[in-house]
Amino acid sequence: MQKMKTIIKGTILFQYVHHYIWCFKRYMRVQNREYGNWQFIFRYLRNAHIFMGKNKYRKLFSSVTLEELDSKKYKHFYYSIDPFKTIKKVNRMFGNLTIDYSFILNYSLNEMLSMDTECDRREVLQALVGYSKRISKKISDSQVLNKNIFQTYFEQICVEKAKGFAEALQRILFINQCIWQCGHRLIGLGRLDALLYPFYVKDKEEGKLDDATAEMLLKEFLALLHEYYWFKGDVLSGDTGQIIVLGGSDTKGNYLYNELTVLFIKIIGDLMLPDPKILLRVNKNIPKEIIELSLNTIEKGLGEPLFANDDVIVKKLINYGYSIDDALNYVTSACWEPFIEGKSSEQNNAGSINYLLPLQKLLIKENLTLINSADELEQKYLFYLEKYVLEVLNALEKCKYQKAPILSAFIRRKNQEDISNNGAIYSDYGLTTVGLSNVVNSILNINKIVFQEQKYTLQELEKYRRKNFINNERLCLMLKDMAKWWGHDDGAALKVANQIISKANEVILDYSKAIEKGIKIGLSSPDYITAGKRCDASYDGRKKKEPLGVHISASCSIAYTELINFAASLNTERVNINGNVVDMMINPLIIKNNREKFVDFIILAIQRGFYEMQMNVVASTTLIDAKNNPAKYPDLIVRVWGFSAYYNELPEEYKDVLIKRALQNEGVA
Amino acid sequence: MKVLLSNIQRFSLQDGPGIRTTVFFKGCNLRCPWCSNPENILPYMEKYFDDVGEEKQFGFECSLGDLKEEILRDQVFYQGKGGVTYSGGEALLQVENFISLIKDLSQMKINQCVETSLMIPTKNLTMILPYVDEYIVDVKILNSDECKKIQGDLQIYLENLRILRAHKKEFTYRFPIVTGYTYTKQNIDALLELLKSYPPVKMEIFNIHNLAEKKYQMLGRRAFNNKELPDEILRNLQLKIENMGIEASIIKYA
Ligand code: SF4
Repeated sequence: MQKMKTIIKGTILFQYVHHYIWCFKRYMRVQNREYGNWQFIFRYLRNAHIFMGKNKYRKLFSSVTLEELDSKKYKHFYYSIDPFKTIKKVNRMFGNLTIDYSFILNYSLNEMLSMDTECDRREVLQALVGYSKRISKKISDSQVLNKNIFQTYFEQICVEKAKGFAEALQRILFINQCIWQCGHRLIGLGRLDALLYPFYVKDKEEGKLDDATAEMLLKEFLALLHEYYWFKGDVLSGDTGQIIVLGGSDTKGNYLYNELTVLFIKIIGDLMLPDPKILLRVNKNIPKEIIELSLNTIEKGLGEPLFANDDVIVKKLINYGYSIDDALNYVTSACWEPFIEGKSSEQNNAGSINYLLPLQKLLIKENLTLINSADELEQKYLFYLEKYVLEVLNALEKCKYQKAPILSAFIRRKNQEDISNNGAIYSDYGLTTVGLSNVVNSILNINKIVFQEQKYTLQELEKYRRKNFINNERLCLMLKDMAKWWGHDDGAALKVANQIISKANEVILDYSKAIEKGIKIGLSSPDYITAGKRCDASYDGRKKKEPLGVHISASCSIAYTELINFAASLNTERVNINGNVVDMMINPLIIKNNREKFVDFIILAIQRGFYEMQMNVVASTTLIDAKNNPAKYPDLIVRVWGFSAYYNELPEEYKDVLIKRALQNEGVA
Repeated sequence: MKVLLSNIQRFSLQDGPGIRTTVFFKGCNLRCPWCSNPENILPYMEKYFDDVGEEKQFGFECSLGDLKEEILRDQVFYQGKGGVTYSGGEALLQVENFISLIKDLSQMKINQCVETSLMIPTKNLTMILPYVDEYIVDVKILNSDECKKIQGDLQIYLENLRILRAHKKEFTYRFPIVTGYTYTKQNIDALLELLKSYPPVKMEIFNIHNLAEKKYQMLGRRAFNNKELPDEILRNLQLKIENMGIEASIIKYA
């Protein structure tokens, strides 16, 4: 069966049809479309090409259509992707990665070629040399302003390392566009404030750059990365993985930042574009001004920066097995999963664990009359959890990845192998998890009404659950009303949650030792809607197919301090490091009326020890009005699971989750 | 020892400096018709039915041990200026029951604040003076006869204010704008006089919204229908107070 699938996937017809559907779907979901539907189809038919076989990279880069040089769009940089041309895909493609951009800043393409002996990587590097020459010629033939400067960048990239700030930015854009062009998705940008700083300082010292110019250049750089927004979106529009990581820590716990950190945060707030997005690494020594500045950006509704707490994360990464220097140099895969910049090929989104599934299996398979306490129920659940996690891990082992020479060329490797063959310094993988809050709330609800208050027997309840609480609305509402355990720091929910997390940790660690490959899990997941669709009703008053809980958030109005306490007390030791985001809905008035206190809150929350935290600052009334009158809100941006997106471009079910959560937060639902 | 509470609200940003935990005591000796916490007035537990028709109750007894534990959960967030605020209802009516906790927290250097109508026996106030750091004093009706209509006693109020001042305690005034009750020409004049004789460090004024309607319904009582005044009137009053050299702000509950 598997073989058959692979054969079908490999056929030219499949490749083209799949690619067409893929492109069209993405194009149709954005609100600002450049072409009409027919025009788009026509463009696709005229330009589409899928390259395969020998020399595919050379052929790809010598035939991609280059954007016309428009002086309005390209004032200092050039950035061009041809969405219709790509490389044949049979197996999974590597993505969700951040390469080491310092390669292209510190070496020329020719130097990189001279250092690499592996043929596929050499083919790609040679293709890039040819491609940069094509672009250089295109510029030279054009009427674009400053064309000499542009042209030099693309000539120099082959022969010399980058010399200035602007040139460094252009090189990052160039390599970035090439990676997208090869069909890889969710391409991170790394610690750009740290990476670009030496170029910024040098240019300033030599009098070639002032602050205003630096700001202007960064603005154009970010605006160009926002181009091809429809093409870059993955599961949803806006889900591009273009993450810029700012700030950091040194070994002594000092906070590291520079002028560019500040500039990036400011510009992201000024541009008001959902993409690229920023993640700010923080620690307890972060200057208050940086938090104030970040809050300005967050408050605009952008939902970014997401805060990642070095005081917690770095320690845990070291504990997991990364070297100290590498742990200090962490970035994240597309959203929140930490890994090491330019050294990791880790696919941190390789699979998903749905904690609710083993509970459902237990309820169907077990003789419920024999379960006499919450403890017994929990023990049985842990047994089913173990079996389920092993099934997920076994299925993952069968996944095959396609060779990724372009990524391999820009990722630090331990040997000559491609990253698909474990060539990268770190090639573990990660899973996301979802549904833990639903399980914890369900178990505690059962404990209360079955074992403590004895209002129902478990069999009775199960009968109603299997019928999706039809004709038992009252019971369903009662369960929902009771299901407010998760998020409270009084101990009950934490005890159950930590037991479950520990069990998952234990199973994964054992498995990981057996296959000699690290595996991580985390408490955040993009799957709360999709995984919910595969679940029956649950004892937290959730009906069949309804969404599961979002990251670490409460399903009721809860003090933010309590939620942070709760999150900081969750067991994120050992392998549970693959992103643990506290996700908060915030009514804009709270920040408006209490700005200073809110800044204090963020700083104190860092000290309390959250792992990661993101905030959606938007009122339920705005979300409801925007759902009913999209035309009134073309620019409304919201935070979805780990990225920001135009609200109007989200599927209705995602809007509904946001509305429900905003109402819950405001204490209305 | 136990106290009767109606709610404990963490991450409270408007009841004193910093991030606070506000403890709402149940039971009040006044009867302000505009009261936005009607469930805090009667000094006993009250049953009601929620949306689903389930019987619930306003009010719960809380041991001092449990209360202390709850207050200390957010200790990290109090750093600097935050802490606990005792509010209500009228917290100081139950002060004998929780003075030991006040002393305890004072020793732990937790900032403590009380929000009070000050129309309470003076001994209840003097008891806490050495331990409580912040005072939020409600300003209501400043005419003896009118004040009686809400069952208040202006003489006690002024006496307690005098004591606060004699003990060099700084206080913030909180003034609800209620047409026909607190917002009358006579009362505003009296307010400006009060500000001269007992100047606060800060004055907070706020509109009364009809937010508590649902709670009144649940309790089977009739809700007060306040005619909300435009922001401009609040701003004018704010300006007048600021002109007297007193910091004034309009607070909006969010
Ligand atoms: S003093 Fe406060 S709690 Fe008591 S009735 Fe008046 S407004 Fe309500």
